[in-house]
Amino acid sequence: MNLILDIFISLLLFIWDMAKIIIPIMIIIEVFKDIKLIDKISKLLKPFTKFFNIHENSSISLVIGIVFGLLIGAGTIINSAKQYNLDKRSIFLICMFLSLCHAVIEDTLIFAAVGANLYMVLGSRILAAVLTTFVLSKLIKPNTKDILNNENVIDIFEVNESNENKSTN
Amino acid sequence: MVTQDTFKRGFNNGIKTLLDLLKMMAPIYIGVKILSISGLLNVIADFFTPFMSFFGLPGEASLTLMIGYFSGIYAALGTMAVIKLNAVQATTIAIMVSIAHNLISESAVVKKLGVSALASALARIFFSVLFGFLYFRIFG
Repeated sequence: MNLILDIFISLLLFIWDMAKIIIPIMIIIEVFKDIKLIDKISKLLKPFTKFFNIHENSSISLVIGIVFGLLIGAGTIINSAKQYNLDKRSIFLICMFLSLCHAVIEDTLIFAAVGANLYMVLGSRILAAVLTTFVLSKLIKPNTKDILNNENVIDIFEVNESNENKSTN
Repeated sequence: MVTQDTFKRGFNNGIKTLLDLLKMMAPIYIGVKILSISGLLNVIADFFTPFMSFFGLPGEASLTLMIGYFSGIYAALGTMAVIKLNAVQATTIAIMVSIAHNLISESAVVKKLGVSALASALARIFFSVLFGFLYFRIFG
């Protein structure tokens, strides 16, 4: 009987620890939504999408995925794939980035609550995601296999040309 | 515009998320607690000790890692709360689980977008093991 009570009390304490984190996070996310901070962040990430040579409009999916998680990120990827004709290569690279690095605010704070170093957890995730995406973006050229199966050839060429122009200038 | 409604919505979302998570976390928490009290955890831990010592982690942490890989972060946290870990060990396992977790269902999500689930899962496990090892070697 004592044992069951013991488990129950420690479970309640555990729930309280979680509540202390999850409820403020959800409030902060709602505030972020309302002050349109999400839009501002995706504008800031434009150089980042250039770096990986992916579709500019994919930065919104990236931000939402990084903040809210893979599932919600995937939802926005599907949405913007239709809206902006995202090419397969961009979708692949965003997915690889997000599968390594998603819901970072929530996940990191929750691990910090059990005594992990916040910066180390966050830093290693970002590093892993950037490394993977960078290597893959170099391995998969924008104008190879993808174009044969993709209708959005123009999109990919436009990105390439604008990049080449910048490098020559 | 940030109004009172913003905070109300946030609070409600928080409660909703907490309840969703509890449905998943509570059984695992209780399960691991029972495993721990019954001594079965030690048997599992002993089996994985050689592998976990590679990351400077106690054998029990293998349970956190395996549950994290297959089930998810919250499930892994349920086990972490039971196992005693120092700061370096907690960070090591946190790095490993935060990079690779919930592999079955999250790979399924990735697959739905037409991306290879195997590529996603392999990249995650690779970096999970690599960074866990590096963190322990550098800071441990």
